[in-house]
Amino acid sequence: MTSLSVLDLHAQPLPAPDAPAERHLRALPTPRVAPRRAPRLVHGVIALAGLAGIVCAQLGLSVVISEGAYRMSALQAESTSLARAEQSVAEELAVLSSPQHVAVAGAELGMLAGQPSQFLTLASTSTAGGPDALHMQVPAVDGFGMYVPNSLLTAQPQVAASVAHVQAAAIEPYPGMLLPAGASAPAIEATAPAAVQAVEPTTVAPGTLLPAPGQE
Amino acid sequence: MSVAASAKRSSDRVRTVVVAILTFALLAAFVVRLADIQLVRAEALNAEADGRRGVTQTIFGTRGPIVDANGTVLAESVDRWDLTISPRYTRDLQPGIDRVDETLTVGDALVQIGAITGQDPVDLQAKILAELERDPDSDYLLLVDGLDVAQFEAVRDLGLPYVYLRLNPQRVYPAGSVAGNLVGFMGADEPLAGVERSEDECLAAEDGARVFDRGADGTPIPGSMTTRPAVDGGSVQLTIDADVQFQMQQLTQQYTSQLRARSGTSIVMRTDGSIVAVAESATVDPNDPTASDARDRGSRAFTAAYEPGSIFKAFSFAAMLDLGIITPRDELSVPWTYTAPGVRVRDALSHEVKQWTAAGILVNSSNSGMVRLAEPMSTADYYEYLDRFGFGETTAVDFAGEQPVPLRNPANLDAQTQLNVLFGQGIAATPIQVASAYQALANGGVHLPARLIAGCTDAEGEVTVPEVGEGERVVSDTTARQTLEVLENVVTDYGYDTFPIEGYRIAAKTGTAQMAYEDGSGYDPNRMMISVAGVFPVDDPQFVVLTMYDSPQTIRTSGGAIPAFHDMVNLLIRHFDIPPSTTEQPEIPLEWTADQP
Repeated sequence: MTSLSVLDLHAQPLPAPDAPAERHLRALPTPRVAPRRAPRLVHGVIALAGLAGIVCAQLGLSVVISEGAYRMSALQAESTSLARAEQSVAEELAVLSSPQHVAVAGAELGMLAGQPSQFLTLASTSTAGGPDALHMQVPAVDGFGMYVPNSLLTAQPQVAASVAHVQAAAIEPYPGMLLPAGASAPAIEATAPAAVQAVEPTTVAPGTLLPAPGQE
Repeated sequence: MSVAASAKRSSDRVRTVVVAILTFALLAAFVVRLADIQLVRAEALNAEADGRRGVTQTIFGTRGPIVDANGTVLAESVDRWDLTISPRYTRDLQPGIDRVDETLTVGDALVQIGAITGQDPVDLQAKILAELERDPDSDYLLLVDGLDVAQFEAVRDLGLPYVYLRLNPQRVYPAGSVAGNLVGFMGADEPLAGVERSEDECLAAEDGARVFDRGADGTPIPGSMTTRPAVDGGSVQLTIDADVQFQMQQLTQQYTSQLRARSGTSIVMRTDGSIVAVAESATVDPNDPTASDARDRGSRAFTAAYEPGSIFKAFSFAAMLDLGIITPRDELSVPWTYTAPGVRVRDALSHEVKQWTAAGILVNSSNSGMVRLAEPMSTADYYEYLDRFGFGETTAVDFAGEQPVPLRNPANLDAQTQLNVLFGQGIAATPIQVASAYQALANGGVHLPARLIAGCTDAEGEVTVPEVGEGERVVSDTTARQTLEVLENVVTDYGYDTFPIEGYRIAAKTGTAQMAYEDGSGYDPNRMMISVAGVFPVDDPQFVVLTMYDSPQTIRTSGGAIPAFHDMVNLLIRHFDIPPSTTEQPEIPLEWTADQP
């Protein structure tokens, strides 16, 4: 307390001397103050070691975190690459499962359209056949290429080969046909049936029943 | 208190005040500076900081796929890359400087790129030289576009420092031209046609971005990355069945070339209004739209209105039945012409006076008979029926570019047109409107909105089904059934043995419509639209089939379209395993004899 405040205290009006409250003042025993000990070396060592420990832990933690970042980066790269592989395969699959590919591949294997289902009628205990034959059924691919084209399939080696084969068969050279220089015209008797076959698909009368693909 | 002490106190106070003022001034300066940096210039500074060490990557969202009713993919987005090059930095790579084991010249690098992309390295070199000729400081040249994953990885593994591979997602259509007319296609950066265009809101993706600070080797610094994820587009499912669509397209194309027609259009619709197939020839392969003529790139079924002709008689017949002014057994003597003041109607072929019933008139497709039957019906009443059948407005599909073909005000029709509309002349409709009207006959007289979109599933898996509105009763159940029973006789008694399929009850109506000149100056005598529309099986209708051919050359009457209709119905029966009809076709007399007892 400064001298200023002492003065201020004195400026306060004093309590009335004849206050009824009676105070019992007595001296407290002197508190026992523990004697101040000199700092020991071990405390300093512990403090410093703790500090060093914190620094090391911090360092280790950030090393681990940044290592994790590298690992994450590598895993993300791997995930991207796998996603690309998956997409590429899915894309190929979608093209292969397109109706055109299924039709061309089926025809190439010599497959025919299945027979219509037969139905059992309980009332008459007989079977009822399905519908009659189609009036016109031509293969998915003929000399002009695919009826329902798919430009993605032209990149498919197998389909491309199949289409090229059919087209080549459709324009098989006949005697008297103009050929590119170097190619030789075939003998008449060998190619006559082929020529008839080649012309057939384009000149059928409406409603003619044609062989289903792959029958010949 | 001494004077000296008082002076010292006053100087102390001044010093305190000065220090306080200085402290506050400093504090205020810091606060102002802080506010300036954190608030006023925050954006500019952040941008500058990001620019210095931050990297922003665009995360491309994937545009949603379009699939058919069974999930077959008709359109999807795939990652493709553009190979761009910095022409002025092209140089030979040296061991020691670059990560190569031996010198790799630009020529060798181009040979390797050419081997990967299948291009002639000399062409690539010529492109680079031409670009350098144009601008020696050129820093950008698009060398090859559309690299797929395998090509991208091969080029990336070459490690050429002057090559940059830019992601450029593209749209592919794995089924090619199957439903190409409906799916539509994309332009450089916007949808141009079909479902791609009309459902763009569902399909479009939202690109995201990834911002981070990067270390010297490109690894993101931990904790610095903020990501705004991309939102993938939704998936649109159609009501189309890709297998049926393929077979219908194959048949339509076959018959179009056999008939040497200008074009062919076929529609298959379920009784509930959902569209199974819309086949057209010629059509478009959306992978390569420019290979088709501009007029073949859309869907004529929705966009090409025409005068439908005789297949329209089914609707006027149904209207008359529903109004109660005729029954199928009404007996009439029908000459081949009909004349009244100012009007004249003729049948397609001249014939002697026939004793046909009302059913016989429809089956034999007599124009003069129809006009005679319809004498008690007002045109306004008839147009009300047409309106309920769905004519005069776009179908609920609302296809991109679909024509509504508004109905004319019946009060403004001249006397001749009032009669012509009874057999489908002087009135235009799109093929989809005609098919949709036959749907009402198939569905017991209730017209349901045509549907092409089954639903849109967004990235979170939430499904939205387009609102199509309620169905509307057009004619009574009895009327619809009676009309179909009369139309069954067209299949069995019209004189074409290529028409019926034994065991199945099929109702159909043929039409040979005249085509107007493009400039509207009357009918073109050389153009005919032959068509057949039908419903089967009559005892439990499931499908509506409409097939039509524009200007056939080999067979110019509706008989040309009959085998096509037969084959389409046949394929549907096989595909969906439809059992034969269990009921017999009822006997409805088509002719009558006057000397009956």
